[in-house]
Amino acid sequence: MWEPEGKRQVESALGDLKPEEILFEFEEPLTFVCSDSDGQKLLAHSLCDGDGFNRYLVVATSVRILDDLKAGRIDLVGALKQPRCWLVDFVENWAIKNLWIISFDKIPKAMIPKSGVMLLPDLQPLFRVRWSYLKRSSR
Amino acid sequence: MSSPLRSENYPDWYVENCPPADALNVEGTIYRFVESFPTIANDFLSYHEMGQRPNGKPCERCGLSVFHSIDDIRNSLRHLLKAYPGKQYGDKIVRRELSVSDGKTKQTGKHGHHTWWAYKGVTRHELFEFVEQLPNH
Repeated sequence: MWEPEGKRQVESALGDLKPEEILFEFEEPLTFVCSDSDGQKLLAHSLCDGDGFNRYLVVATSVRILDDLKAGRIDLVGALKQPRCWLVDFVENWAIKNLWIISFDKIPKAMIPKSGVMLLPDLQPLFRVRWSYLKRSSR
Repeated sequence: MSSPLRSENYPDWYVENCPPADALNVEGTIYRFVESFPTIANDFLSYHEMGQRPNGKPCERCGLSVFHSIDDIRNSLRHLLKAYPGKQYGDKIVRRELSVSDGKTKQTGKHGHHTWWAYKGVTRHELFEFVEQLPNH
């Protein structure tokens, strides 16, 4: 497990981050919406597994970003690359074991979905649809 | 102490009321993705046994994720490898025929995701054949 370069914060700094809306799950919630103690919407995305905990990237988000993500108008990295980011290690019952505030650029690239990867398997990036439409139209 | 609600057919570490009453004996092909082929026991331990996925559903953590359709597992695995590249999902798909003596399954997720709860004494990693390896993104 890599040691984040961010600044460690007290575990309770953001409040209770239990999932409020699960956007994608497989064996566990993998991408979900939660809120901080001020009611700010946050988007959490699973990065990797440790010994008895899961590490998530948590970013400040908005209703508009969430709507665009769910509709396939933006990809995962577009929703996750935000100026306010944290890393959160969750243990059982979504208790927080570790919390760091971190710059998105300090997260190992191997942990982040590549450009064009959407929230759901059946969503296609919009630019591909447009490109295929343009190709068809030019014939 | 084993729970009276738990069948004697299952390992005693299964949680209460697990598997659920509507899980079915299914005969037919199951597919699973793994890290290693030939299959090894470690790829067939449940998250409950490994102490992982602490926020998974307790009963599903006692079973193993499988699919009944090659298309469903391909689509799901492709997405997981791309969307969660740090999670180290195995990129090899294997399959075996399941008989009623091997346990029960139930659909527990979208896109054809099922959970297989093996009966006590079933060697979970045996009898699997290699199907294909997906390119790791």
